[in-house]
Amino acid sequence: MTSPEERPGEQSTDFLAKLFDIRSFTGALFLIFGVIVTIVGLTASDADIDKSAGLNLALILGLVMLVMGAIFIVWLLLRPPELLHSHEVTEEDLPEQLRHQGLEAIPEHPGEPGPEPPPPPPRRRPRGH
Amino acid sequence: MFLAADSGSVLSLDLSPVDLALMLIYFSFVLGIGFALKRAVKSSLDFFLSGRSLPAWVTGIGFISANIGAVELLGQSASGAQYGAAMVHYFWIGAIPAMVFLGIVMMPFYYGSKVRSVPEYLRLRFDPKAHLINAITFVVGSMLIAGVNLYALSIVLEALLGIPLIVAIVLSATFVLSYILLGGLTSAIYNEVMQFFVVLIGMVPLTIIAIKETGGLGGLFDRLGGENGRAFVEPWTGTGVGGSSPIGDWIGIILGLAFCLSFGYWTTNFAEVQRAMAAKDSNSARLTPIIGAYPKTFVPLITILPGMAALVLLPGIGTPGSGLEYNDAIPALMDKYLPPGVLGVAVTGLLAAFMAGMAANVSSFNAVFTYDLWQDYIRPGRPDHYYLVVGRWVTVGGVGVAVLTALIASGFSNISNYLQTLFSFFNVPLFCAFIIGMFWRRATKSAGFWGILAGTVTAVTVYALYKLDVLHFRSDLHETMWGSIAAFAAGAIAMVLASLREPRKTDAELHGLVYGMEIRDASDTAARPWYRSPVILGIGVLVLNAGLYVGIYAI
Repeated sequence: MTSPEERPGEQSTDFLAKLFDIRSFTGALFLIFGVIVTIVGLTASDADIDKSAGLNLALILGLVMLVMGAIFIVWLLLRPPELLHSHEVTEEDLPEQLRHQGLEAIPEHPGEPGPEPPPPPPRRRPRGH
Repeated sequence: MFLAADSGSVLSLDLSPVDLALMLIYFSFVLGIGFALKRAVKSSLDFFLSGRSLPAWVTGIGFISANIGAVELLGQSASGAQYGAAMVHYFWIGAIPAMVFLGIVMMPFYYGSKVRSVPEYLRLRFDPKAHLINAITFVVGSMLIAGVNLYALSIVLEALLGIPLIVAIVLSATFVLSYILLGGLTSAIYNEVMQFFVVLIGMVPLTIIAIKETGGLGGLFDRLGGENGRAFVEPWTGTGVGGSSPIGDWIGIILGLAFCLSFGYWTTNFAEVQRAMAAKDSNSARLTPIIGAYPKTFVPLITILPGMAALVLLPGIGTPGSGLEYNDAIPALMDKYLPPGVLGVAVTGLLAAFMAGMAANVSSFNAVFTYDLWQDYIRPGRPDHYYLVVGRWVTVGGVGVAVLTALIASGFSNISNYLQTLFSFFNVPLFCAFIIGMFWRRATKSAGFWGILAGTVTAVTVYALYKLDVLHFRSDLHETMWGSIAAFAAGAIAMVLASLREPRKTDAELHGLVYGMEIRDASDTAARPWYRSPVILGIGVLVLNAGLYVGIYAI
């Protein structure tokens, strides 16, 4: 993974990106599930334990989920997320054979958005190489 | 792999308030993801391909999760109960090699050429005829399957919450619609990742209990082998030509299942390939199906194994009068063994799998409809924002059609099975067109169309002859294997014949699309550790699967 993009004025987006990473969702979900199911396991009746082949499944599963949730959160803190969807669509995002169709072209590096591109008129590119 | 399953009787499960609370928490997370991602969707590429920005582990889990839908979970456990251990062929040889092949060999063409969908590759490599035939069958097929998934989800909801079926259908559809509408493909993939872990956590307890209650794997296999014959617990026993395994013979398994059927499904199905196209760079795209292959290897443990154990734990399942169909194996085991709390997680996992299955169909449908039909043939040349808006409306329309399909399916479940069979006829000829198109530069414009047409007609013909008792096979599974071998052969011959009477395409037209002209980005050539190398990870998972085949005989 590359480091998150650092551009001035992006701090707030960056913060949101951190918050909205899939690992924070999954981590939070499993922490909540883990707490609930662990409590159920701690208060499980003998009938519940007999039902599941003599295992206190709820307690085992609750603790497993707590650990999983913690792993996701630690992973998130160790490897901060990258920005999602950080670029505008350009001609570079199309297959070469379709680029004459008329999206604005930015001939710079694909995948790295420049500042607001001036809209040049649709231009024909030579096909292929 | 896709198995037609009718969703017959579903048991009513006894849920405690804790179980319901867990379900509600999960569903609020699902919607939360949609709202959180809303602001990140700025272009059509964001909406349909996640802006090509996701890391490999996310797309890899999404890749496998999109495949763990309703039909898969319940259908495969049902097949485990019906056919036994031989069903692992549908994973270890009938899925993993194709996923590794997609990652190592085919993905550079899909990702490097920057096509935005599978049909778009056909349009560039061949011509609009091949493109249209694929785009239209894909759009119709995915709506149909979305409807079947929706119907399956709704009958579970109906049984759990006691609400009328029509309300359950509309409720589930609105739910899936809202999170895709908000966050597009990223929303669908994020939910697939979350769903994957919930399904895993929810299903593993069943496996543990199934093993413990039946006296361990050895005890279970000895008992089933004694009652049903060794072929029931040994995947390769009885697969000789002329043998008795209902799965078929080894030629059919290797050439038909492992090559034609499995490659046809995994390498050309846009609902799967779309996940890899959403990856942030070429190497991540190649890693996507290979990372997905590792969990796929172990899915039989949570589907086929509980299905087999159900024969012991739920006496009489699948026989008339027991009140239980093979399809009920998993819900019935849950009901019998899972305590409160654990049951809630398991049911949530089941519902999440149904939902993700439908969301995968909808999120790939709207991309193909918008890019490949609307932009290419109906309203070309508009600004990108226009197609984003169209994409959102198409999502609404698509879910609407899925609701209608679900209502039809609720009345005629057999019709939907036949239609699914019909669309499966297109897969193998498509794979034929792709593989020849990628590796034989001489294949011309119209070769794709003629290959798909000839292959599909052949597949339909073999199926019809089997149904009319002209051709004889051991089972439907056996027929599909040999039908697909015939379809592949016919498609290949048609492509060669069509190419010989046409001028070849120029190198400029083929750039990025054929072997020897791949476009690679920096991530492909940069030095990388072994755990990011598609070839090393791919070989690793193949060795793992070969080892499991050996291991199953040691039980």
